[in-house]
Order: sequence, then structure tokens, then C-alpha cells
Amino acid sequence: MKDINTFDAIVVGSGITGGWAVKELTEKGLKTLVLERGRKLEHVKDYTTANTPIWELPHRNKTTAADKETYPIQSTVYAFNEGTKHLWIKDKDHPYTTPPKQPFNWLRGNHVGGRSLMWGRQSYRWSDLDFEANAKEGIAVDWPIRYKDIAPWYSYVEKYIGVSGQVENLPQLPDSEFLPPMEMFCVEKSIKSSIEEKWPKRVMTIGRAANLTKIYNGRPACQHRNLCYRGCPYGAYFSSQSSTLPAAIATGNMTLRPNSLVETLLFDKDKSKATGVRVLDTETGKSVEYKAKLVFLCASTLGSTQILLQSTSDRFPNGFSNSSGELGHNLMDHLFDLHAYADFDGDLDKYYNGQRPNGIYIPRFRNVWDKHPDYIRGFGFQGNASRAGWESKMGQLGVGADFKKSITQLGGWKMAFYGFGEILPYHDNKVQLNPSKKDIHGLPTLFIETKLRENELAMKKDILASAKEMMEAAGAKNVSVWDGQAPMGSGIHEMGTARMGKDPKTSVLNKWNQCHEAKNVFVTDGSCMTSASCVNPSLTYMALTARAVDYAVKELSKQNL
Amino acid sequence: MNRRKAIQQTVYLLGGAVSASVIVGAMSGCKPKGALDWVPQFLTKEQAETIEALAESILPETDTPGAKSLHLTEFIDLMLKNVFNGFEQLQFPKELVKFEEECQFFTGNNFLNSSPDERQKFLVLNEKKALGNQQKTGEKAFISKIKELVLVGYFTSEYTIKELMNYNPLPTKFEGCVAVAAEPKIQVGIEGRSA
Repeated sequence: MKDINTFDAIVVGSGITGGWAVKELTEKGLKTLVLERGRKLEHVKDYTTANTPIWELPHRNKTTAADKETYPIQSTVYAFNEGTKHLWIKDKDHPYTTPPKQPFNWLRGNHVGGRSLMWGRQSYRWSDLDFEANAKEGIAVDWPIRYKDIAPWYSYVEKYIGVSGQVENLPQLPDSEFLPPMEMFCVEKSIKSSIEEKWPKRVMTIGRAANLTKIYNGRPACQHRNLCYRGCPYGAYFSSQSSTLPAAIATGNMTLRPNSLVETLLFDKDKSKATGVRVLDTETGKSVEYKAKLVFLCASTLGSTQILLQSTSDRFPNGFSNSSGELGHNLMDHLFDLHAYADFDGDLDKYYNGQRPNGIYIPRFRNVWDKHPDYIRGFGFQGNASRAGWESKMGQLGVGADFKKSITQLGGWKMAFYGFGEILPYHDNKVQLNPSKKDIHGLPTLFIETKLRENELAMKKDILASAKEMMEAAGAKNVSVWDGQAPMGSGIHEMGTARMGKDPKTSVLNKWNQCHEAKNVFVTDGSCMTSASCVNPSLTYMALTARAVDYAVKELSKQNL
Repeated sequence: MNRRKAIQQTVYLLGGAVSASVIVGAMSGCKPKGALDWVPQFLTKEQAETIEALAESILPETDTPGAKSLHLTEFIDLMLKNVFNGFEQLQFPKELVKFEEECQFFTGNNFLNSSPDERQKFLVLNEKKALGNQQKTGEKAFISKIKELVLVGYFTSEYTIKELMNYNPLPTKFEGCVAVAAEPKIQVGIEGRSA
């Protein structure tokens, strides 16, 4: 009789990369167990607020004081409100610590699907500008892959999930396999022309988003409610629930086990391989062991790193596959919370119809063709126009009948740019286990130590100056820029704590996302990243995951694992 | 405007001190004459009557429903109870007392016992003064807080969204650049946001 706790493969995590790993593994015929630490969350049925109009939310979408206490970190996210709070982890139960005055925002869910349900859906390819940067500049270690290694996997992933966008033929931001682009607002079109006229190499394009702009792969098209972050009852943006998990279920090869917190990898020293994982069932409080030939860690950057740090043994006293000493180090994110706002005259006879769950994107233009004197790497801008609606009436003077009449009037156009900048990998930006502080399950928590350095601070200045300059070139009025001084982590693009590299002495994973020191363990979430680019990373995580599964299953069939 | 009133207003705008006797007057005040048809959870009945009158002065009943018809003070009461933090909750009654003192100084009566016309005039001046202070201190004035709560309540009410705005809960398609009539209604979706 087959042991019910034995599978061909185990995937830890069910978010963006876990979903991809299980889809690929099960489609290749492997009986796969998915372990999700969070609660069960069913597609459509559990998007409990997806159709709730604001007047039915008791506090009209405001966060209560009690919720701020339960979610002190999560409640700071733009996407946290009364209608979405059930999708964010309770900080109170799952604490972590940082040094004083060095806050880090760890923003995450605790349910099947993970952050694939709340993500911003911006989907961009990286380029060799990113993959070659460390080697060219002598920063950290070289990426063990180049664009040509991942390009076919980008295509493979995009064709499945559906990414809307506009072909631009940019070397620094390769085109995806696009569904039709969403349209820009009139004022955005004119801002685009002004910027491209003044700086012929700069481009402003429509955001590339994993929202379907037509019926695709059996999934309905986006209904343009711009309510993605409550969960989409149409399944029209990519999430594990809408896209990868249904494919895995269809194979009959997937077993999904929520409320299963992986404590440690089990290791066979003689074979130098993992034999499985030990799980804490958070409902019963009991430990259970599961065995498999292959283990994929897709538990998010810090989640997977924590599991690796906890997986100690005689062979790995400092964490799993950590002879390099790099595990937990080189934590990166993107510079974030860098805003520019401005008013634009005119176009008062123009409006839009529907709510666009997407904005514009200005790809990197610094250190692409020339060299900036103050810093290396670069940044991009997301942004969007809007017409001043009722929210802008808050500060308007007046009371009484005339005031009441005036506040329902539509105002003029505004434009916003939000900078996203590259943070370099620094060995001292790191996470460690903190055994003295336990979480609700009695497990150690993370101590997260990060700070921005000279290169980032210089880049921030240029981000704000560049945004202002572009607004002004486009004819803006009342341009204001500011740095919200968001802690690292706020970009929700944390990555890099189990980096890939060519040399086992200086990296944790090889070019196939495979642990240098345990060939049947693959780590394919953001922890694998060797540098951060300035470009949103999720699409790259997906492509790396599909690529790693392809390699792992081939190796398995060759009996190399 | 008579001379006494004019001086009073000038003194008020300059941030003039309120005498002790005026404070006593404001505190002991006349009996409120509003009548609540709901039970407040955070505010006292008297406070709720004042806030209800204040909200109605900001957004009065016209050819469309005003603050009272839309139950905005019930919303404000709930926000005070659950959304305001402990410090803000402690501040609120104090700020209301100060607001009443200023009203007493300006109109000779507390807010409830002032005429609708006096209320309106007082609020216009109070807001001007408040914004001046706000720019100096960065602290949000009482009137600004109330107005914000009133407006949030108003624009998230089913009536306002469905009747006064272009409620578009299921657009199905998106067009980014369309010509519209001179004064189109504000478009909002399920979440009530205008953008």
C-alpha cells in the first residue's frame, strides 16, 4: 500500500510561484502535494466582498482603530481597507522584529493563493540590462542566466496567464506576448506626446497588466470594475485561483493542504538530498511529515528563507544549503513611495467610461544609453491620470445649499507618477531567525535588518527631479513631488535572500534555482534573485518557476535527482 | 451688520480670547431643542443633537436630501466609536466644547440655539479661521474633521451614489478618452471612489 504521506513532489506555498510550480509538476504527471500555511480560500465563493457596494461596508471602507491594532503593518498598504482586510495577515499573530529606527514593511497574505490575489498585476520582462549589471559593475555576484535563457519561458507564461500591453521594441524592457492594450486617458495621450517629443528615447506606454482584455484561455475578459484586490469573481486577472490551480486540479494529480506551516526540510545526509518536509498543522497543533522526491519552495522570499534557516542539521548548521553563508543576506526591494502630482488644464469635455485597473508606465531611461554621475542602475514610473472627483472637495471652503450643489461637480484633470527604483544587493541587508520572539504557533520569527545606502539616496533625488521635469515639460500646473520615506519592504517586491549564482561559495542556488547542496530542492520565489532591477518582478518569478520545473522533471526522469 | 457684531467678528478672526463668563454661558447653555430619533453609541444625546444640526448646516435639505435625511450623524457617531483612535476620541468632546464657546461668542447662543442664518455665518467664519490655524500648526481643526466625516458619509451613501453620481458598478468595457456633456456626473464604481 502506498504511504498516504508520500508524493512525487511537494510545493510549499500556493501564491504566484507555488501555483505555477504545481501546475507544471502535475501537468507533467507528478503527484504533487501543495502545502499552504494559510487558510483555505476558494475561487469566487470566498471573495466575500467582491460585489459589496461601499454603503454596505459598515465603516464605508475605512480601517477601524481595532483593525489598526490587529494589522499595524498591513493596514499601511494602499490595498488594505475594510473591503480587503481579510486577505492580509494578522501582524499581531505573526510578528517580526527590526532594529530600532530601521523599520521594514513585510506585507503578505495568509491564505491559499497568497499575494496572487492582491498583487498589482503589473507584468514586465527583465532584460540583459538587468541580468548583466552585476557582472559589468562588479556588484555582488553575476547572474547565472541571461535574457536568452529566460525569454522562451516568459513567452510560455505570458501565453498562459494573458498580459495586456503595447509593443514598444525597447531593449531595456522587452515586449511580452501581448493581449490588446488598455487605452490611455486623453490627457495621458497628450502627456505621452510631450515627453516623447522632448526626450526622443523616452517612452510612456500603457501599463502591462495581467488583466485579460479579451476572453482568453477559457477565462472571461476584464469587466473594468477596478476592484481586483477584493478577488475577481470573473477570474479576469491572473491569480493562482483563476489560472494555475484550476489547471493543476484538472490533472487529478494535486493534493492541496491549507493550514500547513512547514517547519523544516527533512534531509538525508548520505544522499545529500531532502526527503520531504515536516509540517505543523495549525488547526490541530500536530506535526506531520510528508515525503517526496522533489521539493519546491515557493513560500515567498522571506517565507522560503525562513524555512531554509530553520532547516538545520549536522550538515547544515547555519541553514539549509548555506555553506556560502549568503542565506538570508542581500535582501532587496524597490524604492517606493516617491510621488509626483500635478494639475492639467483643458480636456474638460473628455472623460472615460469604466474603471481601468491599470496605469501608464515609463520604462527606465537612466544608465541605459549614458551614465549618470551620481548613481548606478535606474528607475521606472508607474502613474495615472484622473479627474478630480468628490474626494478633492474635502478641503473646499463652504457650507450650505450652494456648497452642497458644488461638491457633486466633476473637477479638472490630474496626473500622478510613482517612481520605482532599483535597490542594490547589500550583504548587510539581511534576515535572521529571532528565537527569543515566537509567533502564535511557537515558531521563531524573523529579525529583518535593512537600510538604503548612498546609491539609493542619490537615485531617489533624481527620481523626484525627473518626475517634476517631465510633468513640467508636459505643461502641468501645480507640480508637487514628495518622498514618503517608506520603509524597505513597502514596494512589496522583497527579494534576494537565497540568491542564484555560478559559484556555490557565494550563492545558495544555481542557474536552475536548484540548491547547490541539495539537488532535489528548488527555490523559485523572489528569494532567488541576484539583483532587483527596477522592474516589477512577479512575471520573472513565474518564468523562472516554469523553467525550473521543466529542468527538475527532466533530471528526475534521468534519475539525476 | 452692527458695530458690536463687526468688532466681535474681527476679534474672533484674530483668534480673540474667550472670556470666562462666555465659557460658563456656553457650558451651561440653553436646553438643546433638537430631537434625536436614533440612539448614539459614542456621542451623548446632546452632542449628537449638536452634530446633527452642524451636519445639516453643512449639507442642508434642498431639492435633494440633506445630512439628517441621509443619517450622516449616525455614520459620524459610528466613525467616532470605531475608527477614531483613543486620543482622537478624548479630544473630540473637548474640541466640541471649544467650538460651542466660539459659537456662543459669535452668535450669543450655543449652536443649537442659534438661528440657521447665524449658524451658517458662524461656520463660514469658523472654517476660515480654522484653515488659517491649520496651515500654521498642521493640525486638523474640529470643523474640518466634521466636514470630512460629513462628506465621506454623503458620498458613500447609497442615495448620493445612485442618484447624484454616475454609478457604474459593472462597466464591462473600458474607454479611456470619450467626449462628454459639459458637466458630466462623477463616475464611481462599487467602491465609491471617483478615480
